[in-house]
Amino acid sequence: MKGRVPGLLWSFAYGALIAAPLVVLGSGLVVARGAGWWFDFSMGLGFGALALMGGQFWLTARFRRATAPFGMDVLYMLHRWLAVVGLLLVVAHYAILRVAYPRTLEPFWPGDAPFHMTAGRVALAIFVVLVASSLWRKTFGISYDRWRVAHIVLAVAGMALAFVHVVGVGYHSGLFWTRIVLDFVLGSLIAIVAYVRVMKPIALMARPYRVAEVSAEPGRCWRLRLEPEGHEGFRFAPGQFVWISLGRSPLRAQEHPFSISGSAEDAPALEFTIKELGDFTGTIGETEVGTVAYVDGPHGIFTVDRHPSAPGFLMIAGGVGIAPMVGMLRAMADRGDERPVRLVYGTRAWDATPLRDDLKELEARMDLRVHHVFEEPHEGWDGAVGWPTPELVREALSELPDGALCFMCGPQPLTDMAQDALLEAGVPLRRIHSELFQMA
Amino acid sequence: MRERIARWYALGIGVFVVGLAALFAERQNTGPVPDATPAATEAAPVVPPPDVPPDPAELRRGRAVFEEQGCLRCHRVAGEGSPRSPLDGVGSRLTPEEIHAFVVADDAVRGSLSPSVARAKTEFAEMTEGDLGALVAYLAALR
Repeated sequence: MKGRVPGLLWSFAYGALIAAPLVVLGSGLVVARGAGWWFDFSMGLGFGALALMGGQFWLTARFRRATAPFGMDVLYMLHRWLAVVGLLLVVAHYAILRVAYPRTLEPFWPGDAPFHMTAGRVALAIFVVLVASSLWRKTFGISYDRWRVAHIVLAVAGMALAFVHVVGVGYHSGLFWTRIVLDFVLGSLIAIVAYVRVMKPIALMARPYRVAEVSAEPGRCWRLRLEPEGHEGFRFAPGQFVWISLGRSPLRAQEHPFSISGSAEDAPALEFTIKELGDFTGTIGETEVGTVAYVDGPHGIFTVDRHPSAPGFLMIAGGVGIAPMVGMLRAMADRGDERPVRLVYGTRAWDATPLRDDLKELEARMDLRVHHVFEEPHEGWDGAVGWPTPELVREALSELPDGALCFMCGPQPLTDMAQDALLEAGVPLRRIHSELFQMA
Repeated sequence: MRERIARWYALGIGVFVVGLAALFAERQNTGPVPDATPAATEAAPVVPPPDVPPDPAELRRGRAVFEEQGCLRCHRVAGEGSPRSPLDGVGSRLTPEEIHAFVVADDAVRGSLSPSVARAKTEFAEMTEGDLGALVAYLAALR
């Protein structure tokens, strides 16, 4: 429950920031002659889109205090949805002119058109590419690292061109109060890009980590252990995640988010369980001990630490979604936390079950029972087969005292199923927490 | 759950921004009809028509220059182009000399234009004298 009020406050503050240019325009502080409803509406949409797209930079800057009430994972989802909304606004801004005032868009070709009009057109094209390449990155076969660098470059270029366009067109933007708001948006963007892309990476470089262990886990997973070198690292809450730059300078913006599967009591050492999924994770196993790494974190609100009064926990995991769960379980065991935990854990087979030995050991150390579910059961297996079912989720829940808290992490069909089952069993939504499996 | 809230929040922001843009448009356009410029509605001093009717070829050339230079990007004539600065009837409101001054944003009128507009107009001063003369003749004939 804690964090609800700040969450609301941040949500309103964010909305207010995005609305600021339009509020100033509509407030009467700026007085300009009307040019017809649709024309001015189109201009208003343009200003609104500019602020919304600018807000995307604030949203993804990973300011820990502002993101804490929500969880960074869901803010990236919000980032996606807002990008779609922002793009629609830009398209509407353009489409209204195209349809109702076509001659204001002439001439078209960059050589003939004034630079600020070309800038607007190119910005629009960039925003289309940005959104499409993000929503369908895998369909287009773009690697995560490439996409990420391109995303940053395109976002900054698109935003810069949008500003050139707005200031060049000059409607309202030359007026005192709009000028102040636009300067504020622009200034904050420059500051954020400088902070996120330059200052923060440089600060991370002063706090390097070294790879202390790389070992194979079942299910094409790898256990990666990092230890701070020459500094004290940081403490974290079990279940949180970090962004890692492995063997590369953080200035190159090639970092990847991973949940910490090591115990929070083991801090400052960080242990991860990473599945070979993409281009980067596919090469994790080749990492040499001693490789330098940089760690940005901790982030996230998927943690038992936010629920000290919960009487027990139900965890539902699929595949490598087990990583944050084991992080929480290990910390609980290390702390002597006696609250009961039930884990429903779906994997392909026993031989493809990451952290299976750790879970066995944890069952002996704490009040934990693991309900394994195998798609391909081995001979002699008498437990659940296939995918975790609503019945199994409810059975596990029934082993826990009333008011137990539920954590879910895994492929979306699994977490959707589990959430529905829990809601049906009368568990209120506020006791169901999920970590979004795929952020990018 | 959080995803759903995020989706609704994004949608809410979109509706909010669209609403504000509509409010802005509404505010800008309450009062006189936008196409009726102040000069057209008020009893402004009217520039008398010239004694000699303008040469039709000159007017055609002026219109061609007007289109070539992309004047419709910011100006409206007979329902075409940007409604922000309508030019219908400009020939009755301004003398050819004044029109010329506005086209090239010369020092006499520069102060009354926003900096970005003044900047955009500097390139019009680079037109040939023939083109500029034809353009001014065309605009002066918009009565």
